Amino acid sequence: MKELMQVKGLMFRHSDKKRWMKKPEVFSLGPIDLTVNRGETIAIIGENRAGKSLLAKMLVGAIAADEGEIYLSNSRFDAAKRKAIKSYNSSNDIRMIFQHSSEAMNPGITVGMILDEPLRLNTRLSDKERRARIEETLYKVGLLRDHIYFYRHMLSDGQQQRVALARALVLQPKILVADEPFAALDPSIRSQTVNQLLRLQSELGLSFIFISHNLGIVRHIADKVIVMQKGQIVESGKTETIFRWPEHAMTKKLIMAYQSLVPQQKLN
Amino acid sequence: MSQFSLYEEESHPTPLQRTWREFRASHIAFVGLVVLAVFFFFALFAPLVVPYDPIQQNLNSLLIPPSWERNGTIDHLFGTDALGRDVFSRIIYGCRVTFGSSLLLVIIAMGLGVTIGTVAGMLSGVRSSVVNHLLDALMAIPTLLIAIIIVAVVGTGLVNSMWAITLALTPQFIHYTRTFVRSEMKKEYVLASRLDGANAWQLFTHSILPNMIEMLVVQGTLALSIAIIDVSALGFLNLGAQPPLPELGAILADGLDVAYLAPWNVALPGLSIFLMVLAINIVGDGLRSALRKRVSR
Repeated sequence: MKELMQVKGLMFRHSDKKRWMKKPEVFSLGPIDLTVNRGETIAIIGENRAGKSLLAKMLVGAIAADEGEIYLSNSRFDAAKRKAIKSYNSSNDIRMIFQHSSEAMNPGITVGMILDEPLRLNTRLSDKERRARIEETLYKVGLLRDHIYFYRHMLSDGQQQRVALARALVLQPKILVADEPFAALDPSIRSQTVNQLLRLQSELGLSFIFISHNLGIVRHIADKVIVMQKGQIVESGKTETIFRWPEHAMTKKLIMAYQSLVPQQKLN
Repeated sequence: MSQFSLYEEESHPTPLQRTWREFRASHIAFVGLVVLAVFFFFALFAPLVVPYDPIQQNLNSLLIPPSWERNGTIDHLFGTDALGRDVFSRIIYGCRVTFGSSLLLVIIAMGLGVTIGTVAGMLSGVRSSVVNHLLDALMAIPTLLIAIIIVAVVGTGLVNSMWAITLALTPQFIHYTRTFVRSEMKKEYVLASRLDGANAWQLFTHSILPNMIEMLVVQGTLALSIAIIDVSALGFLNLGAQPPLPELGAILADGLDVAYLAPWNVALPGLSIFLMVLAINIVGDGLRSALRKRVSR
């Protein structure tokens, strides 16, 4: 297994300087250390407001961290740089899938244009090559060539999720970061999407970091689990180890809640 | 997945075709469009359509009633006014002046307002809110009043009144654009585009503008009907277009002197202003629902 990404001492502090009318709200994240190997699936679980989404956004560079370093495919990035977004992401090795919601897809433009944008901005491909790449990507996520001309309202929820996936895949990244990709989907679409992801992962050798509240899916697809509480990683390890021998109180609580829904299994 | 190769659909309707299809489905909106097209035709080709020179006075045919009256003639379709000018020609030229100038000033106001509003919406902090709240105060005053004040300062005349109305209409566009852009900037697809490295201009043209068209159509038609009413109101009050120039409001004011003697001099220009505003509102409404349906079904 090769190391693809390494995160060292990633920190984020919530700054409250400007909000003098409000009660100061102290929130700090990290320090976070994390290693991602090729083809590995990492799940981040934890209660609400544990900083999971923030961590995901910092990993893709949507929010600048205050301290820390990220090594991505052997080049080092200073995560604390405020204007890190473009330079950090220019390698296109890490892409994000947003939580499924009505705002995840632009309603005013076609799927083709949505997928064209990252290519237009980040590659030097010609029109024809871009078009070929878009068709190929759509096919990969289980959509058809004709979907290029479709608008958001013509697609079902599952198809919208596939488009979001296609948007992430179109630049051929090595790591996908997903913030609750399965939360708003119904069970059948959810399992379709999960299987899709597993297939793509085996085909393309993607690493996959995802946030989920659904421990069933976590257990099904994750290799490693990270448990977060109040901005800290409280426990991390192999999925089976975490599920069978949870150590931290928070982990135990989460696993218990999950086990109570699955009566045939017992905690050791 | 599919093992067979599917044929691609031969043609996909473009957004414009889709909008047109939805628009055509509403008959009232279509009738409005036809009426508006007639006015537009008059505005463009007035010199070719009119039978007489609109400012040519003719003392031999004073106050001839419209052709459908018992003692009217077909030579003067809508009759003549107190100076013997052909009312039909004057109204067509009046449409040209009123409609044309309103269209022009709305386009200018929209361009100005959308530019400033977008900049204000994309900026954050003090600069943005200064722009906003400065103009919010202006929005509380009716545009006609602002226009009258500006005309009082710079003097009467059609061009001056056009500038006045443009300046009075711009704050609305700024306000709506800014609000829209701000709400749009918070959405996830904008964040996604930004992560792809889109700069502000690319963000605007690619992610925000396609969704803004509906708002622009609504505000544009609203502003156009306000502009027409304001231009003719200023003409009527003798602050805008000056008398020899055939402007619908000025024609109305001229006709008012002989309203009891020759009511068609007041009724017909008034009717054409009314029809113009009605047609614009109907078309705007139809266009808005067509655009909305395009992205919802």
